[in-house]
Amino acid sequence: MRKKIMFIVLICIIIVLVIYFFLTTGNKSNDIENSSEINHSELGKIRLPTVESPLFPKEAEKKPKNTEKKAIKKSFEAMHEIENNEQNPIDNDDIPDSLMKDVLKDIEENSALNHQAMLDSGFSEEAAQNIASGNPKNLLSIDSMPKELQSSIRKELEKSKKNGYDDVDEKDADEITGVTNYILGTSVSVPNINFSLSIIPQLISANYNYIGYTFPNTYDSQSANGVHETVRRVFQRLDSSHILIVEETSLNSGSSNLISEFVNSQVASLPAIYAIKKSPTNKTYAMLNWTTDKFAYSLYQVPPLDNSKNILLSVGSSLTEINKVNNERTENERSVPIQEENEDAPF
Amino acid sequence: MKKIKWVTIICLTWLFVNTSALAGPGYVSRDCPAAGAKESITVDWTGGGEWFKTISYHLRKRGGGRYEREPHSSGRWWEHTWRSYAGQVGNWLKNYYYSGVYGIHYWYNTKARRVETRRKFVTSCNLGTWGFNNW
Repeated sequence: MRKKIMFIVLICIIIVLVIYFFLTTGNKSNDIENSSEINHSELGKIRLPTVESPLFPKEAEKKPKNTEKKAIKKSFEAMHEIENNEQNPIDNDDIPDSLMKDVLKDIEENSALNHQAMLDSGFSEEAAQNIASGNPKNLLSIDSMPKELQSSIRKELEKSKKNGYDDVDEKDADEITGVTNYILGTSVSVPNINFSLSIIPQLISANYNYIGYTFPNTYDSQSANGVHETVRRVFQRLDSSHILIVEETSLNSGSSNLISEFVNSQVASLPAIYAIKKSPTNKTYAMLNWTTDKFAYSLYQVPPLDNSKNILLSVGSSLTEINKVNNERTENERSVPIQEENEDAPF
Repeated sequence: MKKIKWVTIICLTWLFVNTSALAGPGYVSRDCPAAGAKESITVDWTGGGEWFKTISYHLRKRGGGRYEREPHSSGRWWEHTWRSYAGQVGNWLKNYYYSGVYGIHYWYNTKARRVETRRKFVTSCNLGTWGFNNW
């Protein structure tokens, strides 16, 4: 009985803490205070209806009464109509489906909006155009980046050139060099993703054994919940000499652009960045990054790193080519990620 | 008194462990009248911090069936932070209706040397997406 009570108390405290976290961490700087009156620049004091404890409204309060609705409507109208110097009444009904469709379409297709957002975020005109183009060959130069990022990226570049490798923290290095400890499943199909996986070229399937898949920064089944846009598929060379990780990030909801000053390679005519990554305790791996119009790819080779650049570039090229050719395949066909094709392995 | 102390310790441990498991970047936009929220958030669940910038456009009724976009930003500059927030929460007066939130999330991925952009239009509380390293 005691245990039960303790358990219930524990659950209650956790719920309260989580709710408190969400309520207190929001930025309310632009908000109108939830009080009965506000000071409007042109109207003076406007009386507003008080909404009490809206997160847990009583049944009767869930839907505002008509009088409340009208009051909200009037206040809202007063606040915004005069600001816009308009006399049109606010439509109090739900948004009609047809209008909503138009609104959605307008927003989703409004490239001007995205363009403005990029300029507002500090990107140069050139960078904004390159990001919007969706062309994987379009890179971002450090000078075209937001000012607050430029010095930090320049320092990274200088350090990388001087050392011949990039620093990574211990946790990130462990996630790659110890990737076999984080395998979440061994099936060919990957759950919890909202895109079709890239086709794995014969160059990989003929030379490596598939070990399984995982997601970045995922340490257990709990953190694997949710829908992921990035998948890591892990392969071991047939002679067990090294591990190869094929990481792909779907660009269905956005874009990914490389920084031009770091580019030092090409994958199937696309700009790419090859780098050796090293942690403070000398955990080392090789990484190759490039993007296509559909995916941002990263390949990792876990030591030994002999010939790692050539291996990763070969794998990257075959991965890009086969997926370019098969872009038009149906969803069912694309859901089969490992394709046996007659291709000679160059290593 | 002892029991309360233990319960608190267990709770905090649980929260810490749970948050640690939810590691890596995630992003979400929400149109959530129940919480008075229209917001877009970009988070590094490791808590270590990443370079983020977030912009959130909210559709506002302007009368005559017209809507206008109201822009919100996480700030003037990019920030190296664990949480980049743009929007409003707890404002039931202004956010009492569904109209749609268009979130734009930027992340400078230092490991891959890439600028990552994500754009999502949502018309729900989107609770299923919250709390995960979905990037």
